[in-house]
Amino acid sequence: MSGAVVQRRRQIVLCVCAVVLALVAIGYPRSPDDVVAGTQFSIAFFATLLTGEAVIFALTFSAASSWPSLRAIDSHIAFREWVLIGWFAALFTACGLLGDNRISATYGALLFLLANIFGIFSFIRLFGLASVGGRNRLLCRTLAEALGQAGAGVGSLSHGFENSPIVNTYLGAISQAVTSNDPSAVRDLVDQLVEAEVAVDAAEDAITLHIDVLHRLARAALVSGADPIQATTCAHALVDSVVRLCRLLPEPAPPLGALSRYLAWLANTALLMSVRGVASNRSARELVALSTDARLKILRCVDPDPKSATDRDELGTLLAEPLQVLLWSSDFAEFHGAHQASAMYGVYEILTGTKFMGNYWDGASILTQLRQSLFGGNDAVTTAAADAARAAFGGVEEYDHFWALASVTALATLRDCRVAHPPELVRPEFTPDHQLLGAYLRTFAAHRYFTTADQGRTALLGLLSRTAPAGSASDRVHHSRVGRTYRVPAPHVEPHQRPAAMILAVACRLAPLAPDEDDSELRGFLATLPSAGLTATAGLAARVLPGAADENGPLEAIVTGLKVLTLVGAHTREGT
Amino acid sequence: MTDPLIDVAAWRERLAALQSSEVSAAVIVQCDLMWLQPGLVGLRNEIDRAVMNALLRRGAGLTVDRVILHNLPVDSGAAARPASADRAFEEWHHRLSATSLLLCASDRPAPKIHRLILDGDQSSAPIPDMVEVLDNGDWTDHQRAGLALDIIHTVGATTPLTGYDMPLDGPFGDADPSVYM
Repeated sequence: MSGAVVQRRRQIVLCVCAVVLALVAIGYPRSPDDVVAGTQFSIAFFATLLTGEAVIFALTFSAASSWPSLRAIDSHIAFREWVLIGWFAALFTACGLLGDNRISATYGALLFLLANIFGIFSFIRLFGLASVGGRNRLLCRTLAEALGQAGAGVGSLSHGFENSPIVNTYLGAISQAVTSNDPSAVRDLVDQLVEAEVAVDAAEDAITLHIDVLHRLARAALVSGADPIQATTCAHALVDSVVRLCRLLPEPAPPLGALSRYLAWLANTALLMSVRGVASNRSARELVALSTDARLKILRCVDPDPKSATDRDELGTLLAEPLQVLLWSSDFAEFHGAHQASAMYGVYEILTGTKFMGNYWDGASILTQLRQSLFGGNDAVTTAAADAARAAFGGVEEYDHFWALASVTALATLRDCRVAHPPELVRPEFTPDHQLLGAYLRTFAAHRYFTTADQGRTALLGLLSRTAPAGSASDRVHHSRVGRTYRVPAPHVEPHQRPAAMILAVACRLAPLAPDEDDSELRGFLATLPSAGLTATAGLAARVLPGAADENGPLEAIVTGLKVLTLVGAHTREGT
Repeated sequence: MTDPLIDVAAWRERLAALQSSEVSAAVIVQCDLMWLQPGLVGLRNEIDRAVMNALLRRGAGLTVDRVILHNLPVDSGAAARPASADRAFEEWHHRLSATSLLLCASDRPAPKIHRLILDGDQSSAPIPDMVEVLDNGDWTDHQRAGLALDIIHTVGATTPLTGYDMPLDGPFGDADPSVYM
């Protein structure tokens, strides 16, 4: 029950009591001597309670406390109502005695009794707040109410949330605790957020707040010297809470994708800041570990059949709708995110209702098999999941277009391979290993919906010129993202804003997948490109593909860089 | 869904004719605001693709002049226009620039895209939408093609669409994600 309702109910009870006491005073008026005698005891107790509250207050709360605010404390302990009853009691008693009105004096004396009874209630509530647990419970409730009110706002997704004084005060308290490097305060504040019970309509706002807090903690660990262990412990709690909130939502993919993107971005940023000496390598290491572990957690919650599950909530899948899994998977592959290649197993299973039996480390192409399973004529899978996926794509052209655009975003945001990867930042799936990069790239590069240079040029024309038609999978995914930033600092960039990556996305689909394959189609495609486009693509290749920066000509740089694709499966080829 | 005011079959027929060696030039005008409606995205894509395909295949044997709006009208109707139309307008220009810039070279000339400048008091373009082709030296509709060519050759009436300032590398944050910190 919300605090406002409780407060309103309490006020009604007080009013009813006041009316009943008025009737008693009218029916049984007492003499002035009786009133004075009775009131002496009542006032003494009233004063004792007031002093007691003042002492507890002074010892527990700071005068400048904004979280909890005095307003929140007042509404919890009903201090104003209590003092107001005392004021009325004194007024009626004094007026009755001075004006020789027995009813008024008796009513005042009775109100003093009511004030004392209510004062005990207020005193006990205040005592509850004196402990950390009690304060946390109050703040947790206050935060949940603020999020609930913002979520119920008419016609706005986050407008009420943005302007909510309670949410802003909470964020201020987090910043203050982080700046002053107070681990227990940060932990308490994070606990208040993750334990807040919010309704479905407030879940998106709550997730936004979670990601905002997560970013503040990560930034403090990287830039302000906050304890990274404490920050990542809190961050794990926040990630778990976001995943839990996503289960409430009918469309969980946008927030889950946003969190996945954020974590991938965070790992890259931590690496760069560590290499530049801006952040300590200890902080960067912890944040990289957080990123890879949390992304694995998310992956397990999405994959209907994970390799292993550490918790019951990792069984089953969060995303059952085809469009939801498409949105999430393209977000998951952004910023060189860890586990992006293995995520495609879950995507395949959700979209086809069957399990992918190949191994991407040996060069198996999940997207090619998925294409075959959905649009392969007689080979197509006939499960209900596959029917839903086919309906979501509409046709094989949209399928190819969608994944080509997803690869544009993934390619454009790969890590700069020229930046030295410090050994302390090496984690599983966060390594400078060229073979792993090749496996990530090959996820998309092996999706070969064209095979010749001419067809490649036509595919590039399609990527460059085609606006997503209304109702297409690309359009629906785009619209699901509009207005939903979840305060992730890295903005969503549409693939058409990345022309060089578009060329590389086409080029990688023509590049040899094995060392002995012919690269003439790739060279033929690149040779037809105008120099501006080729140079920009070579610049991108030099950044993201190993070996490309060492080549002189732009064409050679791209061809050499794409040889990373041939590394995949090398360990099994050696044995044959 | 396609707008009933557009004769889709006629557009497709003329666009298909661009592949013919007998057609040496074409003028395509798409200045009506209806081209920005979501229902016409499919046809718009089809036109853009057909024009580029023809140019890439035929090279210098075909000259295409396209006329699109430079700016959207700012009259009283502008307030009622959905924001999505303005976004579609920007994206269309971006895609047209990028396509020319990344696919056309000296031996494969890009379409000449002329952006028709609307004055503040103009609510629509002074020429109708059209696709006219020069087939064996004769325009399919000489009068209509003449209207478009007059506008194109009037100094100050149009400004070319170029991609000279297009950031081909994408946003800076791709190369250095830490800028978002």
